Amino acid sequence: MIDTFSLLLSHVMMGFVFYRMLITPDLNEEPIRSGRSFKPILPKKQQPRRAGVETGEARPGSNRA
Amino acid sequence: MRDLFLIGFLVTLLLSGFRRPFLFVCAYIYVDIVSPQRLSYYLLSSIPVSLIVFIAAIAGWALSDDKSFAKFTPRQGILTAILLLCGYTTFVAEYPDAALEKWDWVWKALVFSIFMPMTLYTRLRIEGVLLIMLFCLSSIAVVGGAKTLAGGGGYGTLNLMVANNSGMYESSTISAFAICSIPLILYMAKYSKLIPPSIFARVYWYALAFACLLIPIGTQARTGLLCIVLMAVLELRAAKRRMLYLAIMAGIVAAGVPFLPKSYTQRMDTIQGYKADASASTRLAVWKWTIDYASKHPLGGGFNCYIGNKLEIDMSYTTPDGTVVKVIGYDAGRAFHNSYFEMLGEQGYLGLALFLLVHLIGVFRMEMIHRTYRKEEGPNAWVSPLAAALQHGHLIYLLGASFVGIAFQPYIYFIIATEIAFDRYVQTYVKRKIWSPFRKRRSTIEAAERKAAEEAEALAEAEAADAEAETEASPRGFARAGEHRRTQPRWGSASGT
Repeated sequence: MIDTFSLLLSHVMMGFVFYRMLITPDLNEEPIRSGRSFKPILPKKQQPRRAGVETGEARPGSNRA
Repeated sequence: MRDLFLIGFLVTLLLSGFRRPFLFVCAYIYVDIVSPQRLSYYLLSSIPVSLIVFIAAIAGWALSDDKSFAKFTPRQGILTAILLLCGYTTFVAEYPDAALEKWDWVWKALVFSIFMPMTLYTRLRIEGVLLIMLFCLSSIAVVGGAKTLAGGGGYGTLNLMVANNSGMYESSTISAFAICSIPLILYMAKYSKLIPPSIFARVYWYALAFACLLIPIGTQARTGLLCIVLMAVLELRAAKRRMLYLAIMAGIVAAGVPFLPKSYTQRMDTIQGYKADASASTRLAVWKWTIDYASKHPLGGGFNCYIGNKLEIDMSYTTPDGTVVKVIGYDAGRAFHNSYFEMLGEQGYLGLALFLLVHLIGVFRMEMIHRTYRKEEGPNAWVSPLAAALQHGHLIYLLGASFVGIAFQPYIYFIIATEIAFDRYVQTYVKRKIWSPFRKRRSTIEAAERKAAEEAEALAEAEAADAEAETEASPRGFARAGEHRRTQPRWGSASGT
């Protein structure tokens, strides 16, 4: 039972690798890289909103006579 | 039923080889490690499967593969020298029948390891070969691991699908190779391209590594325990979070040791004292005999020359009250139990030197690649970990080889061939300068460039002098203008002159 299961498992895994090698286009030729590298663009940091026009809050000292 | 399954798998594999001839190379590795002809009962056992696939692999490469990568490397040269030496020692062997029996499979392993690097010129090919090797090993390791967990282990009693205790199915051999494969398994869990990392893939790889760890416990081979210790140390070197790694290892040891069978701990205790242990004393006697034998036969006695040994074994021991009991045993025809002495006895000093050279160069080159690309990120991030995994596997093999006669086991020659191909791949595609004794030195290149520039300058001067001489000889004034006019193309003419 253990023998059969182990044999089956290893052959299934091997079959999967053989299938992948059969269909992959990069097996016989190394893919040529473009040589370009791209800088990862992260979401920009949100600027803290200023009190006043943007938020409608009264800026300190605005109520001065 | 098992026969039909194995035949079906092999036939499918060979048929797909006609579409992608590289699969013949993988098929040979499969046949060599799993030995389906040994597992089957009737049909496959009567066909020379290994020879057929071997020829198919070489023919497939010769007919359809790219030959521009078929340059011979120095290590392939050393392997060729070993092959020729083995052929010579078999020819003049002391026991020709026994030598021929071993030569029958050794030559294939050596020829294939010389040939294999020529076929491995892309990353996927290198990885594919390693994956097939690991899965082939898994067919034995999973059986051993599962039976050990079920309590079916024991020295020489763990049944690994086949009844005879030889080849990869021999207990100490499979222990050494199972542990030597763990670094490669851990590499595949993280960097494989053919089996992309996923939760299922990782569970499989870690379960396989665990099964490999159980093999030395199941077979109760002391070699395996030493290999595990070395592997733990080497992986500590490669680990990024070392304290976490140490904590995990300590946890595994603390949790695992109480569950080990008593027979296993008793057997491991015999590592400490060698004299009372018959196996260790016999080994020492065989090694002593081999040194004497090599001094009389410097070119070796051919394969299996150990069958001629007659040993006097010192098995003296001291009783608890301090009395020394002198025991002398006699034995004959004992195997080397050490790959280095195996090479020394069978292939002489030259064979041992070549054997050490091919292995040490492999370990050294992998270290160079590992160090050079350690901080590499992006598409080449896999290079350094693969070099480290191959090197660790190789070092574990070299330790295991001190206790088992596995100098010619094909598995290690597949690893050597992969190392050669990987080294060349890195130098071809990854292109960062790694120190190499065979690369031209900068001073030599600069001297050649300087010489070429001087030659070009001298040539230009000579041409200028010739042109000046021609100018002096050529007609001047109106005559020259007429000459010029005649050589110019005229508009409107059909011939353009």
